[in-house]
Amino acid sequence: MIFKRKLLIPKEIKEMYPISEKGIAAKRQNDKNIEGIFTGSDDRLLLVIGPCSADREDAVIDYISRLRTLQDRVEEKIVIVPRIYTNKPRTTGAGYKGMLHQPNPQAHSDMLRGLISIRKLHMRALNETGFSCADEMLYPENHRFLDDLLSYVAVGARSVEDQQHRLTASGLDIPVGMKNPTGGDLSVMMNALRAAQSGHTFIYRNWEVETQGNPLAHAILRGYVDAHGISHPNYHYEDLARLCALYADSGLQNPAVVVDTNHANSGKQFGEQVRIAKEILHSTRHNADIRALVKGMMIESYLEDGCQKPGDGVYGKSITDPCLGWEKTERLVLDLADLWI
Amino acid sequence: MDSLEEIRKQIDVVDAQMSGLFEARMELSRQIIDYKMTHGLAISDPAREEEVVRRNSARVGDPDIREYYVRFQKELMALSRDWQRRLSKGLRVAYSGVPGAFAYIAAARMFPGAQLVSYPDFGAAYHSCEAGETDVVVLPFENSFAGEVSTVTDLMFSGSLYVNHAAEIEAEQNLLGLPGADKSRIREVYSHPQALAQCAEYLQRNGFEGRECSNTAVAAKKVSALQDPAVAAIGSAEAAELYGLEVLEPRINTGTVNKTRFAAFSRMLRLDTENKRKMGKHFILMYTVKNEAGALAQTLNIIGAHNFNMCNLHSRPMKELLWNYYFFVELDGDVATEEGNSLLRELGPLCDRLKLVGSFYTH
Repeated sequence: MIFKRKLLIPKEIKEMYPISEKGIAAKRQNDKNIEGIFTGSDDRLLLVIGPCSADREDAVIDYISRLRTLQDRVEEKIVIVPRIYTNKPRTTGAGYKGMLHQPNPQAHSDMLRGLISIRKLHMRALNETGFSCADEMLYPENHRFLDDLLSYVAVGARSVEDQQHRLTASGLDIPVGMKNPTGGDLSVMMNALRAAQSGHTFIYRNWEVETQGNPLAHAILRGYVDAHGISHPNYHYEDLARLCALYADSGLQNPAVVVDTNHANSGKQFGEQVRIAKEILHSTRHNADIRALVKGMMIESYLEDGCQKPGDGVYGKSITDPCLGWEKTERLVLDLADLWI
Repeated sequence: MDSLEEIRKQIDVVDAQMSGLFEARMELSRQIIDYKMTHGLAISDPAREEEVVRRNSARVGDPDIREYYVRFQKELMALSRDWQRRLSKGLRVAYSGVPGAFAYIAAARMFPGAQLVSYPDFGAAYHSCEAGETDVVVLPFENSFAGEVSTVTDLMFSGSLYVNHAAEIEAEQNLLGLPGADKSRIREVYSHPQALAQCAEYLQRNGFEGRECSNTAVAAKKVSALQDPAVAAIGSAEAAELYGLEVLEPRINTGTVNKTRFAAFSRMLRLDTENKRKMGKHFILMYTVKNEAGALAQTLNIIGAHNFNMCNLHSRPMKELLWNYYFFVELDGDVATEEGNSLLRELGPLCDRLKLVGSFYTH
């Protein structure tokens, strides 16, 4: 390991790219809305929606500005939290690892520029659209660079068994969605939730820290892959009923699930997300427990349908997993607003 | 076909239109020179002129006529420069030294036609512009041979003026003596320390002793006053002429290239985002960092992250704070861009003090 250079600390980068007064007020309101959904005082449907990876600032801001207009149209039924995913877990470590690593997807890694770029992007989103967004907490230590900008974080399927992720989640004041692991074992996810909802003392950014537990930590079902490499969904009625049962015996606070409509649930067939989302709503109409448990969905969507290689250069088209294009996204969100009762 | 009379009438109409347009163009030139005067910019901008000729001549369809049009356009711009020179007679340009000194030559070349005002030293010249006594001050800030001009660097850091225009001027140093003086009898040579440094090798080779003076013209004046054939000066041919001396030996400075960069300081910072010419632009930043490990490296990392090439970096002591230093960085590129804005924004929190001294073409 070569120690190349010392990077900036969160305080320094926050001073470079601070939030506006309006932005601070917007995040406060967003946090309140989202918390209401998880505690049950707000009955609206949460949509964590956006590109698989935030590859370029211009297209992402364009996309989020469109979400703003859409959010205003469906305000009575839906609360949107845009996804700005700036760091991507890669199964083998190869390939595009997100804006944090490669602010220019075509160039080599530049972590300093990456740290600044992700802050700048999230800051612009908040200052310009009033959305405080969602990101994946891939590296728990990096959360402090964005903690004043994010309204939601997810702990990925590969990270959910990791102690540092669980302990860090216990110290956040925003909802943390914890995914089922890639192998599908729901007990792993439930243990992660137990850890995240309890208080801990540990080392974080070279400090001894103490947390109180995060009552807004909740489950995300994202489908799973079996020993033969075959994808299996876990968004069906029976899966949701089973999660209700697990929650019932767990003693966890604020039982909640956000269903990821892509990944192993769609087998990465991005177009299936429309059907899957509607099926989940259908399930909620048949079982009051499921209706109470399902808080929202996580949808991968961008300006263009599908995906491309990083070098192909189509504006607003995913360079990682395939996404639903804007027209289909808009249609879907309007439909969900009609169907959510 | 129209009669001669008829055609002449049409020419009259075109001429009438052209006279109105000419006047309007000259009025705009007046506005240009007003702007240039407040920002300490040069009248002549060859790259811009070339572009104007190229763009406008492309509109002329007939290639034969286009040839004449190019000549017309060039003449038009020459008239505009003349006009601007006349208007800028009122421009007061400060320099340090006496007439004939290198700084005088530089100021005259950078602002032809302007009124040059002499000051005894760099500080006095600089402060005259800060105080509004003069509009522009021309000072040397770097010599290709002797390096930075530290007093001017300090003024750049502590003062309130900005640099929007810089020029490289060749410093040809000559040995100046009384008319008819014998070179072999010379013992002492007076000049400005920079000039002495540039000619150190020559002085040593000839066994001359260097004596410091406030500038090269003062040195020439002194030699002229002493009337001692054993005393000579180092300075420009202009100074020799002004003070009745003779060039005993031309070009005694070491090395083939010996250039001095002069900066025109004025009270306004010019950040022209409209300008399409990005090549050959430089800017100067000066800053202090927190006195802790890696603080300077952090600022350099930020500069690197924005892909600005650093041409020059040096540190200078902050006189009021013992063993504290500030940094002078000259960067290749245009600061009036998105990258430049981000750079300044990101450097802000890392620096205790940060100043954008100016942005200028290097030509």
